[in-house]
Amino acid sequence: MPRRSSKQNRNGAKNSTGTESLRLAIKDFSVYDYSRSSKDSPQNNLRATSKLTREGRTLMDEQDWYEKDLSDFDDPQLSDEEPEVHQPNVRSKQKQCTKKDLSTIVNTNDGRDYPLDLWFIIAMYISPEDIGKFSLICRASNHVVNTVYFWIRLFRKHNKTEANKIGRILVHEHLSIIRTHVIKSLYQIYPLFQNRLNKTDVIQQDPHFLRLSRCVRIWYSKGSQTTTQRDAYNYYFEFRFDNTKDSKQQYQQQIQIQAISPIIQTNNQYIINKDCCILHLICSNFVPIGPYMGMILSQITLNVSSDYRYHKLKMWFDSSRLCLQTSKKYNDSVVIIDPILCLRVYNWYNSPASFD
Amino acid sequence: MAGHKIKLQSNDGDIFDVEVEIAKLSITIKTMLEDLSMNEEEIIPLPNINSAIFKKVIQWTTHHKDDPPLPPEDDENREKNTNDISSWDQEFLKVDQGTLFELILAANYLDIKGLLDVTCTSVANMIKGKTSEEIRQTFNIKNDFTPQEEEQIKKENEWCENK
Repeated sequence: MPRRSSKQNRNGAKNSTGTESLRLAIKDFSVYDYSRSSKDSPQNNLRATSKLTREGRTLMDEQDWYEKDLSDFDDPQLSDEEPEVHQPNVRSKQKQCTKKDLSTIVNTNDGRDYPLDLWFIIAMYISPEDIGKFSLICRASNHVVNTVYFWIRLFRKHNKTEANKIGRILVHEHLSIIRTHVIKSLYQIYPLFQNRLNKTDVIQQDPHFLRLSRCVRIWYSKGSQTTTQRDAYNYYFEFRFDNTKDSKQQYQQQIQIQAISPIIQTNNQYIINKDCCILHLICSNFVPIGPYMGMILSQITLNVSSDYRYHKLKMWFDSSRLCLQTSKKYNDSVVIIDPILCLRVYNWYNSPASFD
Repeated sequence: MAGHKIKLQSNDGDIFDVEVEIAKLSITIKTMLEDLSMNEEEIIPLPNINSAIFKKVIQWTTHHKDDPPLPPEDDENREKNTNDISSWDQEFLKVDQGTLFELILAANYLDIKGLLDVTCTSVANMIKGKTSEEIRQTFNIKNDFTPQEEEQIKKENEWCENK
């Protein structure tokens, strides 16, 4: 008789019955599951309990109804499920709140809290030169500037021709790739940035800020488009500013994200690292340059050239920063470029499309 | 001769009788009228706009009702057209920052491109030539960045600074 057997089980008279062993199995399962749980917040405990109850119930359901204990039908633990039932309501309320926040202006004691929607709308009207200031206003405005939508929209606004060509490909790239591409394209097309580059000065920037940076690459090419002299030589020195303080940031910068599209990959092959800059010197004659890659630029001087018509650049390289403390200079680690027809310094954003 | 009027209700319960032609400057209302084929007696609710802001919107649309329609989504034209703000609009936008931002949200909700352009350009112009701290003071915004975050953002945006 099923009723009697269930009573016997409840009293613990016969421990070897199927129901009891099943209970033990559930108990073991619960201990095992609980011990594996890394989070022990009350909410998680509740969730785990209700999950176990559910699993227990499914295991129990595998039994025939007459094999079950009476107490199994009105399990007091079932009441624990209630908080979980209510949870979606709380979540939906939270969602409603955030949705409301998106379109309402909230006055707080410290100032106004403007909705994210508003920053998105205003961002579409911000000039490229004001993007930095805009992102510095608050977290919300900075969040808007760090979206793919913002950069693609900016690209379409200022470089419609190129956007029509590669806009669809660019959308699938990582945000950092899109951002870099759009900024570089702005420096090629946006009048204000163009004016910053089109300086007629022969010496476009004082190169002394390069002192104590590390030379990472040197290369040269023959022929210049900017000067009338066909036989001019272009010398490129890539310098990196070692920042020992921000080693974590430096590590993050080293992780470079590769573009997916081959077109973008081709465009990106001349991109300079963000902690680097390139010194471009145009010289009328060939100057042999030694292998100074990896060395520190200990001293740099810019004087009048020997013919008094142009400039002369002298750079001293040292093997490490420790050597800089001693005043000893090695004559064989000096580069003299004379005469210099043009001197430029490129950053990652204003470098030309190619250095050939 | 006054045209047909429709009733529009702000979120604080005020009902406004607005000429259909003026109301139709809002693409949202225009779509509502056309798609839902509402009659003149029906009240159209505008749950996102309060009466003070809606009065300003009606003032702007009444003044601009005879303006030629702006070309749709042409950013090049938009750039050319919106850099200058007419003297009337400049006078119209002499409001506190809260009202200006509410007007932007209302223009966005009602889809009135001209009003959105003029209000957003006004805010963009306010940002020009100011430091981030001055911008925050102008708009009464709390600086929610840590000094490290601020430094990081400055570094990330060195590209747009004129050195």
